[in-house]
Amino acid sequence: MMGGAYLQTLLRFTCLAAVVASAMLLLHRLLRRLRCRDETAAGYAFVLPWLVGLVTFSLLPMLWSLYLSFTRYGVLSQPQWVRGQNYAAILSGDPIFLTAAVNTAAFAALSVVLGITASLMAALLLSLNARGMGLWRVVYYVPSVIPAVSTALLWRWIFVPEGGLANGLLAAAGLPRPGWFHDPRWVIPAFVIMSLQGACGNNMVIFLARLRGIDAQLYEAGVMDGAGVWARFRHITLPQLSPVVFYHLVTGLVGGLLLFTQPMFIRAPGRSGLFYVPYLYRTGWEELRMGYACALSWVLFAALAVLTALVVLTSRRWVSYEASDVQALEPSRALAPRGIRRGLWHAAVLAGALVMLVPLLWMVSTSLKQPNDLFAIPPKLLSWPLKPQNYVDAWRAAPFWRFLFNTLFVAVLATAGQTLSAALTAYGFARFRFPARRALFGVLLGTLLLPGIVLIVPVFLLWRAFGLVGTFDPLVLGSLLGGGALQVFILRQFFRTLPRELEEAARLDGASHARVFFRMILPLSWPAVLVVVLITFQGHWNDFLGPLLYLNREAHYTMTIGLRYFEGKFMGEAPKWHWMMAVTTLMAIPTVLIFLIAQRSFFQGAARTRPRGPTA
Amino acid sequence: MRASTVAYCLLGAAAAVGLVVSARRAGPPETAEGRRLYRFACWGAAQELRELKERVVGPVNAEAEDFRVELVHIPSDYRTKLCTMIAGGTPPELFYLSQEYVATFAAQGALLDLTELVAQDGRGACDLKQYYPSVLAQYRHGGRLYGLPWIAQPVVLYCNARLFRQGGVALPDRSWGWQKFVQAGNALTRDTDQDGRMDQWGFIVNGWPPVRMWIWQNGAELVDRESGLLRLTDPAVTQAVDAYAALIHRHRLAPPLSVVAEAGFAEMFRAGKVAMFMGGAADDLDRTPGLEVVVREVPAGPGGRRATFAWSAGLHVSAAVKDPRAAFAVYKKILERIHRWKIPAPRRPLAARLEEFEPRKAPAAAVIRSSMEYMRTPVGFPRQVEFDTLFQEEFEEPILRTGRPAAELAPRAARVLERLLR
Repeated sequence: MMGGAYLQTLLRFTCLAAVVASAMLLLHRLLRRLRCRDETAAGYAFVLPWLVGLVTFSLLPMLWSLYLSFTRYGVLSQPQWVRGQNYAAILSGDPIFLTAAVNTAAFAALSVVLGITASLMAALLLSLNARGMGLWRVVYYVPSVIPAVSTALLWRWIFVPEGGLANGLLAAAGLPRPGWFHDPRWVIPAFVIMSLQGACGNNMVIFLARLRGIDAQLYEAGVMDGAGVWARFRHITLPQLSPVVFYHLVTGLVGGLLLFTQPMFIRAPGRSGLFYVPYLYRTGWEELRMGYACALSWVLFAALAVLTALVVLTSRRWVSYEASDVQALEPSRALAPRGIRRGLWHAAVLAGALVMLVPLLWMVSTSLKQPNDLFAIPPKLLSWPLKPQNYVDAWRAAPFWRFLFNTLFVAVLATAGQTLSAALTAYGFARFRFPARRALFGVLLGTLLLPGIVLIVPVFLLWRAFGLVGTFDPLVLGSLLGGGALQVFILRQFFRTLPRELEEAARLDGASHARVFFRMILPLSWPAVLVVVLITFQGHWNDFLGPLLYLNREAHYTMTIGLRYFEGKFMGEAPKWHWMMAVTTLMAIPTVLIFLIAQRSFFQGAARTRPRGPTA
Repeated sequence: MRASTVAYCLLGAAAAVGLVVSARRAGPPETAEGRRLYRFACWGAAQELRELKERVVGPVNAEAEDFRVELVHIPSDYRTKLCTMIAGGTPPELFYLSQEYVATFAAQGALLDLTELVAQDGRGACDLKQYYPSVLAQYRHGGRLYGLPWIAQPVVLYCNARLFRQGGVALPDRSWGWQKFVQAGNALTRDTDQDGRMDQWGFIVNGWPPVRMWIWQNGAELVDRESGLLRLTDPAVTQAVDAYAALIHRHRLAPPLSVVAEAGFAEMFRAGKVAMFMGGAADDLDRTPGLEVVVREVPAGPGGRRATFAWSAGLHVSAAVKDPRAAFAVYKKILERIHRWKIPAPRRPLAARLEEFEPRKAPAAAVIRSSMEYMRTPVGFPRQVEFDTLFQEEFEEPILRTGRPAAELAPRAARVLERLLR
């Protein structure tokens, strides 16, 4: 019975939550019995779910992949020990490895620098007090919630050399028209430009929050000393923003070097568009050389670890940690420009908004096109008559009502579990000092550095050992054991802003740590929790690989799998782009709606979770 | 011990027991209503899936008394999912596999050796004499048989008859060789709106159709079938590749790769922008609304040498099945149904009935059957996929993109590719 599948998952989810809760409480009791300090016992109890998840779903699979990196492993047969042959092949000059590494490094460097610049500029534009600013912030933020797959497809069409939107605008301005994704010299810049669409998402929000928290008296003092606009920006604004820049630098480097989804949907000439993680995926899952792929992943891990360490070590020279902890005496109130500058400001905001909205518009317009107009040369923004019937046809072509229900079931349950788990873990790291706390937090951040692709098989084996392959459980149960490194980081930052006096007072009144957490901390943390809920929900809503690997029956499939029904890769059946864009548009609606409804709380939460330096 | 501690222990234990017990009952049952369950992994879009259920799995299940077949539809990333299932110890009992992966899977022991089972049966789908030899060869590895093809598509030539009429060019016939093909392509490549840019093309390539067709038509082989040695630097091979690339760069009757990549390969033909398209025999290009499309054989090579590329996919049994005979019995039932659903079937007696299984292909039936007589498949070996990827990246794509002579790139590409054949 289909209903049984949902009930069984719900039952096991509840049982696991009860097991986790009991284990946390029992651990606390046990450690107290062993004469540990209350703070130590509470700290370990709160991070216990994450610790169990770390060992089970991260450390063990990572060790397994490390072992495989010293073997010849074709996935379908047993690994054969070959010692360091894989690493020797990589480091002695595998030309494909070198090409992928160079492309990836170039992309990461450019995207990080330009992304930070773009998000800062957008934040500067939107930090001014003016009417309608809330609406502009939404317009700038919303494109960042579009799934990565849709982003890749949209920008492919924007960058069509003959008659695409980008070259059309350049031609109108009398400028040269590059080949973008079809010219090896322009492939990397095209990917970098595409990556800027997401720059005005969370990165912009965090910059914006920090900008609005800069003490106005600092600027007034600067003006009195005769500092101009540029001098105030350089000597006041930038130092105040340095912790945020540091945070974006580290996360941007990791994200840039782990780029995967977009290159999988964009075919560039030769190897000009070959990036490291797609090369790793191809080696492991298309050429079935998983041992070599694991070795590639560990080389990347080492490079990321070294780079991150370098950035952290050098950060002491340019990050003003003291300034970041200073609470603003009064919020910075930059006045809206007047006269001609006001007009220029409006023009800049409008231009930026158009750039942000164009991909969305293209997605919607494609969903309303006639099939014959999909590949019109030159490409058409609108097709007449419009064909809203595409939405109905696409929805009926596969059991999307069932897919929608399954997606909601998984996303809601996993979001709830992951948010709770992240909150517990974050509270443990934020509030309690216990042995190895800093090292464990470093390990938590370190789990971000290894590509998940090489962990697919060991994690699958784990779920198989539990007997849960073919159910929703692998997509849901793991959420109770970890919370996700990014989510933990965000909540930890927020919890650190809450005054300890509240908790101390409650503890003096006899409240347990659990009661303090659930009855006091969580309610106070609603904005930050909302940020985590939105990010987590979006991740589960758009997850493709997890449902593909663990769900075997069509009745269990999710929307992202249903979307692939229209790819038509085999047997000459043409891809149905208009239907894909119709379903993609529908899929984007929930996350956009949630953001629109909760945006005020969202921005408030993001403001309180801004980075304050690497001190744990 | 405090009462609350005891309570927490009991609660945790009860929850843990509940977790374990319900997990043990989870997952697909080994039997359904007392019948053996066979999971059948397949690919395909929505329409294909519907037909597979209606014409193959549904009837097989209706007739079965002691088993049931359950489809595991994998609409995308088929290999990743299939390999994960196999590596994870939960392989589907039956599954599709594209021809280029058969040697890889067989070499790693993932496929059941069907040699004895097929020989003992010898009838219908197990009568190997019925199969086209070139296609069947892909399913052998080390002299053993690891699967049977369920389709064998030769590449044929789809022609936009209206564009031919407008251009005053006669439709292709069996006398066509490379020269006539180029002449017709040139005549059909036009700037219809007089804006200085070509918007109607005689032909289209983007790495498809496979350059191997040109190599075979020129009397050469990329990989020698007897010795397994690479022949990339042979003059006959490089000449054939140059002839292929010349369609874009010298004769200019095919659009540049950049235009193809964004306008869509088959989509340009469907939009009426391309006069001739080489596609699989089962493709639905000849049913494109608004187009008048006829199907012809691909042109012959120098000296009238005929060769075309054959793409096939096979049905296989997992090497992990507990009862190979029982699984094979189900396998054969499924295969027989598929042979009467997908066209062209890889068996001559069934290829002769092509029109019966797919009436919409009746006008092209004679062309398809004729093409099947000289269709060929590449030499299969365990690292074939890696070889094809590197061949494309190191050799074919640079030539198609830039028009550089094949002899210039062949030596370097050969050094990279030869190690994969060892």
